Formats: sequence, structure tokens, C-alpha cells
Amino acid sequence: MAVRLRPRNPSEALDLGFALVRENAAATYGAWLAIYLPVAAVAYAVLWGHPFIAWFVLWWLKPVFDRILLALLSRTLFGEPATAASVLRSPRQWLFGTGAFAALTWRRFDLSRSFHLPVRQLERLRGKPGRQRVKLLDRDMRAAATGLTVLLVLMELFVMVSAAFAITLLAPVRMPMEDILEVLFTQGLETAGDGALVGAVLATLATALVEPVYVAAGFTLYLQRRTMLEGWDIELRFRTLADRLAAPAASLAGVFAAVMLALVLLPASMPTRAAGKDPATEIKAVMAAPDFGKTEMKRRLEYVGPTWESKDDKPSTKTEWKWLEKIALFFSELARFATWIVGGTVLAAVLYFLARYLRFHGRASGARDRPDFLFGLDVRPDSLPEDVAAAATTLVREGRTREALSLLYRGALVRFLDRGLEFLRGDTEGDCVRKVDVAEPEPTRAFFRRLVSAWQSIAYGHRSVGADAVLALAGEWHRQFAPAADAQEAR
Amino acid sequence: MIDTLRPVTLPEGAEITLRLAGPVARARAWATDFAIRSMVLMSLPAAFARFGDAGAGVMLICWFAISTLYPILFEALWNGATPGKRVFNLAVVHADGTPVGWSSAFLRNIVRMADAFPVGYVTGFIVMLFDGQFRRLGDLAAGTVVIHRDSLAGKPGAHAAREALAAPVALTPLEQRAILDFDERRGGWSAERAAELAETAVPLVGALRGEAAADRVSSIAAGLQSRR
Repeated sequence: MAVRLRPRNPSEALDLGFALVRENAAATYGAWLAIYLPVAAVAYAVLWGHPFIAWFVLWWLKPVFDRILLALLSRTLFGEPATAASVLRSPRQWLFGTGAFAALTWRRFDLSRSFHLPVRQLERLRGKPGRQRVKLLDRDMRAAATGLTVLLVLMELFVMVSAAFAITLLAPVRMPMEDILEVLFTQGLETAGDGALVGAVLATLATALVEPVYVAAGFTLYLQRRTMLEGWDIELRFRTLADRLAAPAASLAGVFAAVMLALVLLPASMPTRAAGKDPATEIKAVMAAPDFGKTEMKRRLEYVGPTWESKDDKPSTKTEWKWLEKIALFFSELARFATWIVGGTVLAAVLYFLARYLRFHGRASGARDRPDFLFGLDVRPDSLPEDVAAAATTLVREGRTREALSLLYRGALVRFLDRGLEFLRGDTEGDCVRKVDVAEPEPTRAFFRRLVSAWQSIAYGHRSVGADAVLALAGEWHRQFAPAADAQEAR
Repeated sequence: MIDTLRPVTLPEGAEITLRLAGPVARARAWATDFAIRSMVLMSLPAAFARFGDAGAGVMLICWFAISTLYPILFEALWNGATPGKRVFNLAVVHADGTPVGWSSAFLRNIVRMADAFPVGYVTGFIVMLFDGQFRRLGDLAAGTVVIHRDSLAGKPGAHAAREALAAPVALTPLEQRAILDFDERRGGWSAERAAELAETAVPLVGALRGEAAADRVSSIAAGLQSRR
């Protein structure tokens, strides 16, 4: 199971669907577009000259596409690779026996389509049990499911209009908005020619963007409802608990995936189907409880006195406001300038923050941008003497241990940067040690760790480090890095 | 494990979890705000009608001020929530969980114009689809996220009156939470399902079956609660 099971409110359950698609964006959209776009292309080719009808056919067939998407997404959920070919090869999973006919006819305008889809497709419930199941699921989640449909229908429309708008803006020919509106509303869609084709194709592409999210959010909403109804999250924890304390157990993940599959696909554990008792007597027993069927008395006041009419309906006199108008004109002029200034500032601010954001994130991933300073130390290659180890030895002889250590440390950082290690501007000593640990062989790692701790104790701890120790470090520095330096000079 | 949470480590070293809010919840809050604002804006023409063209000018200025300042003022002054966000238990906070101030509220709502471009917040919606924390451009600029603020804990102790028992084994915090959840949500399940669930927790219920097993888990929940 790729998603975490926990209590959520309905909105969060929908959000989870968005996250599910996002985390598997490449695989999901890849497989989905590989199926949807060719079908759409065929539809437009067959109905060439009638783009609106082609769009309408594709739109009407959405429930079938939803089923393909749900087959894809349910595989993703259980960690199976979801490829277009593997889904298309098993039409039993998404076409036959999934209530597709009903979905294309009298259930086509179901406002909770993607929420109800798993009942038909994964649980395969039809007829009366199916209706009861849907009713049960609807009880807490109906509003969320409908909200999802409404929002995404609008978003599909907006994405399409936005794309049309962008094309209009970028097109080399002048296409005033009025003309487009006139074409759309006076001539009708059928006769609009190329404009209609472009519009229909854009609408189809908008569907391609939105539909996976729609199906995924409906699916996770369904999963959440059943999680709450049947306590899946608690079952998972209890099983983990039992597993943790049992003797060496079988692979938990495998067992659990099988259990969850069974739960999703079989309605056996439906609370409404709990066997053993006669439902009628049980309902009577419940209804007999004091929570139900009690009578409440409520009192409220009602006005019973005489009514009267308002006598105050003199027509108000109209005053002339010439002077106010002058002031207002002045202010409106002022406001006009202010609007331009504010608008310009806002645009500049947006550009600035966008640039800052891009620069920051670009830097975090850019490898070639090497810092000049690390924690205040100059790490430009030309700031080092020719032979670092020798220079350090000289400094120690002169009694300047601190400078010597600083030089060795700086030298090591520069050499690591030369070897392509990515130190960033904000890295601490600890970060550098970690990065060296990952990238360098063991002798170098150990050496660098000793060097850093010596440097830290002298620079931050203000403890003296013996001259011998520093000389030893300088000697080792030479062994570690001198060959590299020679090689670099040879190049 | 895919989830919509954002863990935040506080300076004290404690960890809290922000429950990020996605497009649907936020769109609903926005629509509510839009309705409220529209009502205010539509009541203005009646109020200014008697002042002629000058009144119309003042009214337009008021319109501009109300529609621009509405989200900024509410978010900065009312714990990061406009009335619409409050209705749906949402709030704007900084990415580290601290409340938003004037600068962030101003920035994220000024950049709103870019999110709304060109129609119906399409830019913001698409950015939200692919951002890991459901942020629109305004949130990216101001370093904010929108979170759910309602509580998920059920009504404690439908069965809390039960005799309290200590757990027979040492439990992790997550397991303790699950036991308390079981007790809180037990009323929503059929007796059979509750028993089935309880029976899976073998170390807790041992050989008990049916309602006795479920009662045992509830008793342990009561024990956990009394220890707090």
C-alpha cells in the first residue's frame, strides 16, 4: 500500500489523491496519455470537420477512461508497475462487469462519479447491493465528492479557456477578443471552422490533465471512507503489533498487501452485511434506545398584536454635488496614477521574487557553481601557496600553529572542491565531513575527520594543539593530496 | 508512504506535523470568501447611488480596497484565516508552522493576481498540482502553507467507563494511539467488525474471542487514558 492509512477528514482524503498522482506523476501520466491521446486522435480523425462532435464523444466516454485510470491507479497503490500495455491487456479489470453500460447511460451525470467508481469496478457490486453500498459511502462523503466534481469541471473549463487565451495572445495574426466571442456566440460552434477545432482539441487536452487527478481523488476518498468504516488503519496497527511480538514472522508487507487487496475487492466485511442476527429485530432494539424516539417540547414567542404601516415614504430630495464631483475627479486622477505605480511595483516584486526563487533553487542543484568562501575561509584555488604542506610546516616552525592548521584545512577543502565535491555556501564543518565521508576512500576520510576536529578545537574551542600533531597532519596532507596536485600541474 | 503531512521540528526539539490543505478545501474556502465579499460589494451601489457619478467613483475605490485588503487584513489579524478559511477550518501559516504576519499576508495576496492569471486561478491550480505542499505562487513567494486545523480525535470514551486494565505488553506510541482510536471509533462499527478487529491484536486479547476481545481492548484503552 503506497499511501498511509490514518484518520483524515474528507478534504484531506481528496488531497491524498492529488498527492498520489503527483508522487507517481511520470508513470501515471505516461501510461494515461499513451492511451488517451491516440484514442482522441482517432476520434478527431474519424469525425474530421466536426470537432465539436468529436469532443462530445470523448467527453461522453469519460466513464470508460475513468475505469482505465482507476485500474492504473489501483495498481500504483499496491506498488505494481502501471503501464498502459498491462492495463489494456486485461479489459476484465476496466470494462467488462464494471457497470460501464450504466455509467455511460443513466449514471452519466452522477455528480460523485469517481467516488462511486470503485464500488462498481473494484468491488463489482451491481443492483441493489451496489445501491446500498453507494448510499452507505455517501453518508459522510457526499459533499466532498460533489465538491471535487464541481471544482474539477470548472478547472477543466478554465484550463481550456486559459490555453485559448494564451494562443490568442501569442498568435502572429491579430485576433481581437470581440471577434472570437462573436464567432463563438453568433455563428455557433459547428460553423466556427478552425477556431472550433482548436477549442475542442484544447478542451480534450484539459481533460487529459485533470482526469487522472479526478479519479485518484475519488479513489482515495473511497479508501478513506472504508478505512473509517472498517478500521483498516487500526487493523494494520494491530497486525503490526501482533507481528512485532510474534516469533519470526512471514513478510508483513506481503501479507498486508494481500489482506488489503481482499478488503478492497470483496465486500465481505461490509458492516451492513454482518451476519448472525435478524436485522429487523436489531433495528427495533436500536430504535428502542433512549437516543431515538424521544419527544421534545420547545417553546417560542409569536407576535400576535396589531400590525401597522410605515408612514415615512416621502420622496427624497435630490441634491447637487458639484463641488464633491470636482474633488472626486481630482482623486480619481490621483488614483489612476497610483494604480499604475502600484501595478508596476507589484509586477517588479513578482519578478524579483521569482528571480530570487529560481536563483536559490538553481544554486542548490547546480554543481558547477563553486563557492569562494566557506565559513569565512577563503577557498579560491589561487589563494593557496604552491606547496601547502611545506608552507604549513614552515608556519609550525615559526610557532604559528593556528595559521598552519587553517592553511591545511583550507587546502583540503580546495582539493575536495577540485575533485568535484559539492560544498555549498551554507554548509557547516559537519556537513563537509559528511560529504567527504560519502565521496572519499577511508584513509582520506579518517584524515579529514582528524583535521577538522583539530581545527575545531583550536578555532572554536581555543585549545592549543601540539606542534607535533600539526606537523604529522601536514605530512599526511602531503601524502593525501600532493599526487593530485602534481597531476593537476601536469595537465 | 504517500501522505499530505509536513513534519516540522521546533527549536525546542519537539516535532509537530502540519496537515497540508489541497486544492478542493482551499477552493471551497475561496468560494465562501468570494460570496461574502460579493455581498458586501453588491450592497455598496445602493448605498452610494444617491451621490451620482462622484458616489460611483468613491464606490469603485471602496470596491478596490475591499477586494484587495479583505484577505490581507483577515490573514494578518485573525490567525491566518479569512472567514471562508475559518468555516472550513483552514489557516495560513509559515512553512515552519509559525503564524503569518503582515509581510507574508501582504505578499501572498498580492501575488494572488499571478495565480489567478489568466482565468479562474489556472496558474495557481497547476502549480499546486505539482508542488509537494499544495502551494500556489503566492505561497512560494511568501514561504507559507495552508493547513487543516480541525481536530481528528473522536469523542473520547464511549467505552471509557469500563474497568481500566494495564497493557500486558510494552506498547509503542503508535500502538497506544491505535488502541485509543479503536475505543473512540468502536461505536461506528458493527459488533462483529469490532470483535474481528480486536481479535487481530493477539498479544492484547490472547485467546479471547468476540465481544470479550473488543471489551478487553477497550479496557486497555481506558487504562492508557487513566495513565495520562
